[in-house]
Amino acid sequence: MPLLCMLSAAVVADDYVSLAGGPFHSSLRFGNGDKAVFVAGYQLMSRPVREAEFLAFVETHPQWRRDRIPALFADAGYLAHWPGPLTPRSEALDFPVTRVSWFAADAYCRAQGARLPSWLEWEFAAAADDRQTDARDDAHRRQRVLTGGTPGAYRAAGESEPNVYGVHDLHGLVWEWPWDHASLMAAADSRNVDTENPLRYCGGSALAFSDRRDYAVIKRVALLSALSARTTLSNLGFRCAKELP
Amino acid sequence: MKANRQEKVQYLKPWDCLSVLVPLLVLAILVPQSVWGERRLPSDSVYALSATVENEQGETLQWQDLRGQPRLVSMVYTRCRMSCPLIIHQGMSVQQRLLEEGKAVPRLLVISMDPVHDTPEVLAATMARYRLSPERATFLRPRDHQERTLAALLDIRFRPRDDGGFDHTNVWLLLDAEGRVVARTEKMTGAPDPSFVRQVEALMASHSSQGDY
Repeated sequence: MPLLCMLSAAVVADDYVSLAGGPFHSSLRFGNGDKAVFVAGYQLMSRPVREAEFLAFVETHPQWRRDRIPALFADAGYLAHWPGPLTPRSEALDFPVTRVSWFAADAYCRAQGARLPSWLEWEFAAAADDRQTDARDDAHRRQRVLTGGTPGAYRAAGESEPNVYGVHDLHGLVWEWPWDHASLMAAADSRNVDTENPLRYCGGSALAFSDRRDYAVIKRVALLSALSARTTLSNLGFRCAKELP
Repeated sequence: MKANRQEKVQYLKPWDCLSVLVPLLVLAILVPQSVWGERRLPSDSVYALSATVENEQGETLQWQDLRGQPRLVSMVYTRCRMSCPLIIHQGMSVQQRLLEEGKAVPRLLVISMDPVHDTPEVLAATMARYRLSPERATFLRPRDHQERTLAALLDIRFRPRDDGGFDHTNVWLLLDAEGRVVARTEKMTGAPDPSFVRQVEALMASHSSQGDY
């Protein structure tokens, strides 16, 4: 009971949808030529994690408060937009949480008995629109997704139409941490990953993409793979995934 | 009657929390020192992560249990035929160099990025193949899919290939007893990187002079 004094009332329930998976042509090359990869079925949160949800996590896992988190787990920008360590702006509680490091996103999902989605799982869900499971050949959509960017980073989630799986806001709101962000850009034929190479961000590895028209995806991969797991950005959030029930 | 009733209804006031919060706070301050009797971790310690690992003898450990002595740390997978043997040999030759000079030698801590395949039996067999005793090395596999968390902490990147192998960073890190990364070398062939060896030597010397082995 007394512990309730410290908990905030606004806790939004996590909402997952099931995706059956199937063969999928990733825009990233996984060292398998252009063959389809098989995506096993999984569940994905229908929306990115909100500020209110992340606040509840930080309250119950105080080692992830911005004033207690070890420097190794997040840079100085971690939750820096909150007026206090346990006080997001009240008008933003329903916004997707941003300025969270990969470590914090990973810990949040683990605490829910879930995990971060792999890049493939994210890409599989994000290939759909509101009519088809793979809408990536639609040139208009491609243009929209590319120019859309992340303008919604500062507005409430859930404005976009859900795709055929019932998943919202994979595009046009915030970018999202995948579990395997650190392994996206390794060239398919290199045995060693050069950890010091700044070109990882600036381009070098367009050859690792099997569909170079998919600029929105390329842009996203280039950004995500360049980040260290402690990085926080004002337009980078996350959602969780888990196995099918 | 009415007055009686009002007396019964009690609202929780903020200061009601204090009676519980204050002892909790006191506990939070005392417990770590009384139970663990250890100093606080530095904020850049990799041992701040709570993770479960399993060693080559099949024992389940907490990642923090490794705190307390300097270690040479790397990540490999045992099915690897090319770069991983080079990595392990390079770690061993750093140890060898120190032994020849009569210096204290840190243990190797070899973490698998392939925990599904690298069971304790496989890890033990790998150690035997390199004639590494538990005094010289510990092999671990992360549990609960935490290989990526550990890799991220150590700034090691790996990527599964469709042939079951991995592309990965070839590196040895020197961790001090508190889990701070002191040095790093990516030189994996030929004689050990001299500046890395000097840093290992210096850390071992300062560690044994503290006498808290």
